Amino acid sequence: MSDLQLPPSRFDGAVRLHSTVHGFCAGIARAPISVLAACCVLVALIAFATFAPLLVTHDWTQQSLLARLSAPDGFGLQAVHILGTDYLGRDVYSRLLYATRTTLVISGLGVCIGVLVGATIGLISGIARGWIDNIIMLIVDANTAIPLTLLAMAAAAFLGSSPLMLVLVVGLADFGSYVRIVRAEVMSTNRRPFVEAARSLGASPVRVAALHILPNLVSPIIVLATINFSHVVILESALSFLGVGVQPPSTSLGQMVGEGRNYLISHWWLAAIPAAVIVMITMTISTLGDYLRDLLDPDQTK
Amino acid sequence: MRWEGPLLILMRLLRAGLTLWIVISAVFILARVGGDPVQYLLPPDIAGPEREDLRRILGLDRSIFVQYLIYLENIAGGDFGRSFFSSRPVSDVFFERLPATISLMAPSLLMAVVIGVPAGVLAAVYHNTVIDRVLMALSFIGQSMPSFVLGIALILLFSLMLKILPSSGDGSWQHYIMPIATLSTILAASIARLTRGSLLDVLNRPFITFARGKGLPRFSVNITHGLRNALLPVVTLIGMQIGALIGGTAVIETVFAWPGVGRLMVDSVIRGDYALLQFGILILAGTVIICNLLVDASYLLLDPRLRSRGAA
Repeated sequence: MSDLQLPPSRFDGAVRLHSTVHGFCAGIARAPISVLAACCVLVALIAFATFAPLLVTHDWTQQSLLARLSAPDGFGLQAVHILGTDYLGRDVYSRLLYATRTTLVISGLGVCIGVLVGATIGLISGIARGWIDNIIMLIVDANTAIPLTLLAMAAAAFLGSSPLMLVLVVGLADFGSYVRIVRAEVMSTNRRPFVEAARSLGASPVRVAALHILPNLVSPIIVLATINFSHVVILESALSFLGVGVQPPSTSLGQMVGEGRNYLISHWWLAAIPAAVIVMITMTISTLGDYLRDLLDPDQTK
Repeated sequence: MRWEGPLLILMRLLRAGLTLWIVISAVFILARVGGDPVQYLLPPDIAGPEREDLRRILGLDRSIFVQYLIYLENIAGGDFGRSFFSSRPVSDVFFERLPATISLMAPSLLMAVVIGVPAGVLAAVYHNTVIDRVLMALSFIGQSMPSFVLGIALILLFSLMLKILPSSGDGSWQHYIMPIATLSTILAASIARLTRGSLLDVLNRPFITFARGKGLPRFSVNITHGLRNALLPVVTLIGMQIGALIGGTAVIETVFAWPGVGRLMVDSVIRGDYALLQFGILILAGTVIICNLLVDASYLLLDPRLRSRGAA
């Protein structure tokens, strides 16, 4: 690790934060084509999800049993159902927009909560050391010992699968990994000269944590959140696919795949279309995550 | 100091035991906070008195703390309770489904290592060439693909379009191909990535330059000197991924209608069979904890330096 041997100043944290943001913007401008493509796809998906109410062609819950399982019409002038209809005659295109919206909102909020809780606990654990650290790490060990899908499934079953609970479940099921990474990062930052200097100048532990350590955690946390976002999307989709995540009448991409699975023989696209959107989301986010890691966190680059 | 090694092992075991206790307690609390299993077990038109009877039979009428103590006491005596759904002992229900899952997991793990490690080595040795790019692109796709999507894609391709493999069930050896392919692909992808990264780190070290300078053949430099030193993080990853593999079976067994414990867990979630679910989580978490202990122990085999230091 290369340390800049500059005298510590009270602006230390702010300068670091600024350089992070600056590096981020400069990096995007010089990004490889795959990353730019991923950004465009992601922006498009978010736009589709945000403006779903304006873009739908039908009410997404409207059933029409006479028009069930119709084939996609495409985008022609005569098109009634662009992507066809499902087993209850609901418009697949309109449902797809709302499902993308649900998946992105639940996963996005989940990641925010996971990062917030995980980073806070990791920060406490890394700074406090001693028995507090030991107890936290025991809980983290227990968290990682339970297979993730199983834990989320059980939690969703026990606590109910209201949207709020689902956000908490997918966000916090893997909180141990956030705690581990942030804790390791805190411990290594803690030993760096500018932190020791601040401490020897008499800065209180809270001040050291807030002004000197936290700003240095910004880039690893951004990287962590981006990479985990795709994991959370996969987890939420798997839960909804299994029927323990998002419940009807709401819909999510995983749930659409699960419903479409029953019609694979005759109507394969019912499962394939939402599945393709899930893969699109996870691949674009992973591309961004890998790129950000290389850019912001050179130490961790493999 | 001589006693340092055994003491560390003892501490490690104690820690594993504490971890398991936290898992048991957390799952118990989660299950009891969540709600009333009786509402899953009886139709809504059953009257109040019958509900109370069932609650008494299941021991749900006592305070949560008493229930917890009874639960711990029963576990210590080897009694894990009965399935709410079939009222057979949960261990019987669970263990009769276990062989089916192991017969998927063991070959998947093997396949993942057999494919993942060589792919990672190839990518590292041919760093920044077409081989590296192609392998890493494949591994990237493998990692971003949810397992149920991959499983459904395989069913579409091999069962419905080509009609050469059965789509579900467990009758013949052909039934094993797609579930194992799905489970191992995702694990192989992450093993390949990590092997590549770890080997690249090692290949930059001075002792590799020295081995090359000595005129050793390339294979010997890359494998004997390089890979052996690069394997430690890979073994750690494999140990950590056992849990992910177990979780993955829940999804894969549902996709392929495989009669293993993964599907049993999904079914017990849907039926509200808490006793069975608790037992399943306990056993699977215990498996993960034991695997992690084994991984720690395997460090001693892989890295002689740790042996002489006596640290695990």
